[in-house]
Amino acid sequence: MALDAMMADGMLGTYRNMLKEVEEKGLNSGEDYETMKATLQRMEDLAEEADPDMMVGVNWFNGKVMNENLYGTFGDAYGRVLNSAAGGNEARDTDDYDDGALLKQVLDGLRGSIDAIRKGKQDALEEDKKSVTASYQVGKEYLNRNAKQLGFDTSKKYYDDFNKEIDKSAEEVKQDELENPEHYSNAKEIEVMFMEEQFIAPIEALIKLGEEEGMTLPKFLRLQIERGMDKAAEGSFATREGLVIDIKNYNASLPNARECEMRAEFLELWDSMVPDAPFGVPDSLKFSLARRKIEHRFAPSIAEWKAKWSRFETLIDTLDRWVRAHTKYAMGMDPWCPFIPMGGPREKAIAYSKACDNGNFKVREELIGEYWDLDFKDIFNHETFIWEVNSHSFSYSQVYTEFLINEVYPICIPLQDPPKEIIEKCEKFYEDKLMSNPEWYKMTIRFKECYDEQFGEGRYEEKGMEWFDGPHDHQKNTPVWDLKSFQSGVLQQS
Amino acid sequence: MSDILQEYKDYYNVRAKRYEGDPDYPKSYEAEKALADAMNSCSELSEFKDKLGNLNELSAVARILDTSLMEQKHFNELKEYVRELGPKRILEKCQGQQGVTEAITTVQEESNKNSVEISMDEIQREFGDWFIFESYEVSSRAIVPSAYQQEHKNDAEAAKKELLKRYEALEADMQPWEDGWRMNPDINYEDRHFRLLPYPKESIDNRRAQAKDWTGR
Repeated sequence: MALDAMMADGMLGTYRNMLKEVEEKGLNSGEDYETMKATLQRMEDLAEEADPDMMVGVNWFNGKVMNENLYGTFGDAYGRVLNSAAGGNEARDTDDYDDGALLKQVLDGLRGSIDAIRKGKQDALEEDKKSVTASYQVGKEYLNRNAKQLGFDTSKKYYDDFNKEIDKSAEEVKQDELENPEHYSNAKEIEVMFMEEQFIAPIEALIKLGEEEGMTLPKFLRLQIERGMDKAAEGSFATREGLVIDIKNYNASLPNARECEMRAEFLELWDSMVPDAPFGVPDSLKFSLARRKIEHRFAPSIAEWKAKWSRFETLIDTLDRWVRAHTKYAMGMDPWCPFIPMGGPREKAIAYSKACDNGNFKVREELIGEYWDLDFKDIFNHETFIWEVNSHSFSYSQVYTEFLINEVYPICIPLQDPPKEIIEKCEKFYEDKLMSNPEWYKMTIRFKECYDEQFGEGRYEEKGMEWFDGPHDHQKNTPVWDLKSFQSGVLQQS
Repeated sequence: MSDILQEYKDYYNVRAKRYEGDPDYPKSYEAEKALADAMNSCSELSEFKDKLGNLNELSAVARILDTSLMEQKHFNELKEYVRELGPKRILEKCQGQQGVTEAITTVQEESNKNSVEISMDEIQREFGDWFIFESYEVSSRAIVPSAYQQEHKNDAEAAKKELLKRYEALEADMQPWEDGWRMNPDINYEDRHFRLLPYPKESIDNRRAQAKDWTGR
């Protein structure tokens, strides 16, 4: 028994490297080094002892490691080894005090941190250059080592077919990578997200301060506190930057109003803390706790929004599915096609929807009544629905939604089929391609604009990500949503 | 020529000033003040070595105590009593500690332990999975043709078994972390969970009764 090598390497690789690092630095003696060695050995032993089943074994391994605090013990010992090497906690012998040497040591440390930042980005860029197809081979090897645990029968033909599919996909990706290298490159994203120069600039400012004529170590240490330069060098600017990017991402995806409002409040909080903060940089813990309070306040309303929209969407989909199941086009329609295999299984699923989704719909409507004293029609005045339409996320067209509310809903009665004329109307919607929201493409434009703003004009398309500047051809005749007419007209009638 | 001793005094005074008057960092201020006082009492730099002692380590420990108290108060105010356990234990164990390494080890151990406690607490939200209960409601209450009634009865029974299976799987997953751990659906009535259940109490009580009936927990 043992964890798969890929899993064990992933979890223990960092610690193996840390042990190797101290050995290469000649720090391989003393109690703390021995603690590192013993702790890593214990982790290796647990990896050997673990169940090879990925889910069971990894969970067991992590539980053991956490309960024995092995990561913490190892990290702690590692810190002490390095600290001792640097002559850490011992007070300097001030009889030999050499201010110039000490200041140089501090500035060299800062120069080293700049090197580390630059190296980190270069390492990420080098890693990114590796071919994506290599990961297919790694995945295939993992599959073949653990096929039984993953539930495959390696004696069956389907297993060979599955391996061949992996090879085929790898070949297709390899070809695509050659023809469209930018689809797979993250170089531009790495350049932007590392914010290398923004992190380095305050460190360089500190070094420049340290190099001023007449500078001493204590003066340097005092000035960086007084000017807030120590906070800047910790990367405090990145906090606000992160909040701004988060808002933009949420405004592109628009999951719900509450989450967007919450993120705007995070930024307002940061900006409100700046004037009163020593040296204009809010204390990171105080900001974090104040931010948590905002999250705590919003959490119930976010939970309510998600709970309600989830049920509303299911109700609309159930009603739609019930009437679609009766049409002559059902076999080729979503949600059955292409997800349910053709033939028997798909026919069975459609027959079930025809017979039972009216009964299922009624129970689901009863549930939103029990929970929130709402019925089906109340959905269409609710802020969650309005949000979905305004953000172009709602998948149905207005005309089809009106059909569902005014004509299908009233006749959705358990044990009864819809009348022939309703079925024929539904078929006509399908033939004329009037069911889907023609403005859904605007979501793709939001994603594209948000992405390009962050990573450069044209980058979204360069990465091969799909977007549309207008509706599909077949949707060009579908009227766009007009909530005013919908709510003042249709809902009043129904 | 610079007066190194005075410059060190100025530096340590600024360090203390960072926390002066800040009600959230009283111990940090005291500790930094002690460092500044030690430095200010020197008439030669060489005296500082002896006067420093472990004041710098105590300053680091003080910072841990202040931040842990801030977190503990914060979680207590929000009635997040499980999240409060981590900083509470850190405070108890770090009081009186003299070395920063020991304090950091305590912080790591207790933070790890608390993250496991939080996971064990929060996976029980919504009685494990509210949607399983709804599947049961639909299957057991929907009026369907006689040809499908047995299938619906089977689906309703399957929903009950699915909840039990889910509870058993979660309990099995948690054994390596805490031997003997069991699901406790009653915790859904505690404020940190209850406030996130957007359903009337009657519905919540109904789910609790169903969970007990189907799983014995």
